[in-house]
Amino acid sequence: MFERRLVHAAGQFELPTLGGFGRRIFFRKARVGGWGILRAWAVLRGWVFVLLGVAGFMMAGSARGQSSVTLGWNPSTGSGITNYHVYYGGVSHTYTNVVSAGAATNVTITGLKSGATYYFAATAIDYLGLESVDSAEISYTLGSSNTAPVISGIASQTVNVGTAIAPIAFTVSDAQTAASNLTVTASSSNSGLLPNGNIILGGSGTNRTVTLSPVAGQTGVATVTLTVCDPTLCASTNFLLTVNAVIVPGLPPPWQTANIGTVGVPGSATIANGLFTVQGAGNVSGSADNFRFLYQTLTGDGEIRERIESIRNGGSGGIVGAMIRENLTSGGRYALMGVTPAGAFRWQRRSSTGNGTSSTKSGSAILPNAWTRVVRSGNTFSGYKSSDGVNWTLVSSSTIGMATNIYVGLAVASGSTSNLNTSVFTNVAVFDTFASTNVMILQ
Amino acid sequence: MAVAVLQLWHGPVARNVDGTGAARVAKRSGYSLGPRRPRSDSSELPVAASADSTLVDALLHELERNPDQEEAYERLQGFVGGLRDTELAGVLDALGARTTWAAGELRRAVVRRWAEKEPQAAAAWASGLPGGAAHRDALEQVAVAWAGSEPASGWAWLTSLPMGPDEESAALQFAYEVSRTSPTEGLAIAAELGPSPERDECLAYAASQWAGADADSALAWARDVADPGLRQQVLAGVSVPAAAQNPVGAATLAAALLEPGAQQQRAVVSIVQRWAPHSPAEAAAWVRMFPDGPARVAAVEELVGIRAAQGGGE
Repeated sequence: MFERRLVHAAGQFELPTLGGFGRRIFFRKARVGGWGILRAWAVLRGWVFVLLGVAGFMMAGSARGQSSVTLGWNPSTGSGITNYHVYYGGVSHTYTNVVSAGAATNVTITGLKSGATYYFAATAIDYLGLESVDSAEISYTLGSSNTAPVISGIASQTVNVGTAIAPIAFTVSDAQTAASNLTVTASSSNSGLLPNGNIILGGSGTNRTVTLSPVAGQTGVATVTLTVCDPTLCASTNFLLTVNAVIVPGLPPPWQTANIGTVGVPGSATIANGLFTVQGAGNVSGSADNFRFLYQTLTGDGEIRERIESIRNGGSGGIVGAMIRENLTSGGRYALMGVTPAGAFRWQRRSSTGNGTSSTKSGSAILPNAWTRVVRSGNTFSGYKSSDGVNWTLVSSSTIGMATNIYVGLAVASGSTSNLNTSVFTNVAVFDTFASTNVMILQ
Repeated sequence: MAVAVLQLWHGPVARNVDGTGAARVAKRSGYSLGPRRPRSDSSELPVAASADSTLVDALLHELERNPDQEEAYERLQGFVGGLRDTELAGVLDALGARTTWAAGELRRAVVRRWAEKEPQAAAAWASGLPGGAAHRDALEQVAVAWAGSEPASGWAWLTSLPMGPDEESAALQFAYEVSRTSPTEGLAIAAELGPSPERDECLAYAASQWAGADADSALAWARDVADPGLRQQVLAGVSVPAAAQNPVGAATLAAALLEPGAQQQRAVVSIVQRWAPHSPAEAAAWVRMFPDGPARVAAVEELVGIRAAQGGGE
């Protein structure tokens, strides 16, 4: 390790005297005809420390660039000089290498790295072996004839959440380096959406691919940067990945809807932004029902609860609310905890197929602060009501023998086969104990 | 006779449901509708006992004028509950062919009570009615009552009837009621019915009940249904309850055998609902393997929702 200390003095460098040497050096830069290169020289007691020239040499590998430099200086005006040393390194004033020029006033240093900046300083050695302090430092950046590789652009990518993206093709090339020797890397600006590990590069040679696998369920935007490098230079391109939420047309699974029994006016059901809007005609009463049912399957025990936001009824009666039903026939067994359009909580059930309905009224419901809930535990069905969705009051429990695989959902009837009841529900939740005791099936 | 038929019910179940509704194994099980007799044109009601038609008229009048249908129905139930057994046929006679909602409800309630007490007599009366709503209602009530008490006898009665829309409707209700507790028998009965959306729905319902008890057998049966549309419906119905017992099998079925569409989406989400809470890693791995499309999207959203509900964040 060679370290030399220079004393800086306003652009000039005063060197300590070595023997009879009192040195004053300074730099300037100039063009030298013919070489077409940067030239610098220093004066050391009249010396001129000259960077005589550089030439391009083939570096290791196939990249082409400058790898040597020749430095020259004027002879020392002092006497007894027998040798010159040139110190150099990649960091200013920190010299890791030295070459001896003998009595010559120039030296060619080889094995340098193309494109790198080196720092040089010279010393003179007299016949007694005494070495001067360093000359002023000069630096030089080796030129490079290597050109950066080229990577093709990639258009922005927009996909829906949950959708895998097919491998995206791109090309890489380089004037000096074979495409197979180019290194491609990738990075993402949004690790939550697209971790770097979810970017898979493929292909070979000129034709490469990138496959993106956004994190399941995540939406958002990420900037994907692809970088291609030859041994010394790199080039990048980037593109946007946008993962959108999906709006599924129709009812989101597993919801279904159907008219139960024979209704005069077909009903409908929509689910959007947490609003469950159900239109239905008919009645849920007697030995055969006809109404609109928005439902999903339930295996074994479970429950449904919901908030009834509004009822706009064109009929003369009817009921709306949460229902657990054995099948989709008009005479099927069921348990319903609902609210009548007149504003009364009502617990209804049919405990025998095709038989009559039993009904229990239970106070007033003031919309939209009306919540109902039906719970199945074996063959015990319980109806609850609430004004806040937190504190529930048991209205009644009934024993109804039902099969294992049944239906759970929202029932809407208008009390008339010729008019619709449009009711809106929110906070709909189905609990299936086959899924988990306490896990809500979010809808 | 009833015992012999019941024993047959527990033999092989219907395995060859095709597009025509035939089920060869169902026939081996004794569930064949057989030759169909022409319907009797008789419209006379058998009179089992006298009834005061004035009383029935007054009741119907009261029920139909009551603006509170539930209250009216409670009144009706009270009336029927107060009848003596010997009065049931007389009330039906007094009702005649009236078609108001109150008359219909009263008829159904009385026939049901009669069928639960004397199914043969009620069946004979019901099958003698002329075709129409009253006939269908009466047949259905007898069928459901008999399915719950003596299904073999009930089926023998149904298969002796000349098949028309009313009888088909009653047979369908019979199949549903049997499926509640004996899904393979219900399946065999439904497979004997003529093809219709209602029949197919009943098949899917019975198969789903079977899957709840024996998922593997139900899945195996569903795979062999010949009619493509019906097979999809049945597979979808089976896959969901099967997921509670055999989520891997149900998931494989849904992915491999259900065609892309609403049925597959519902099945996939339902399977995820039943699988993910217990085995989230396995369920997530399956979802990742699922082909791109709406079903995968829905499944991913369900996974995310379940994870959030479990406190795992999104």
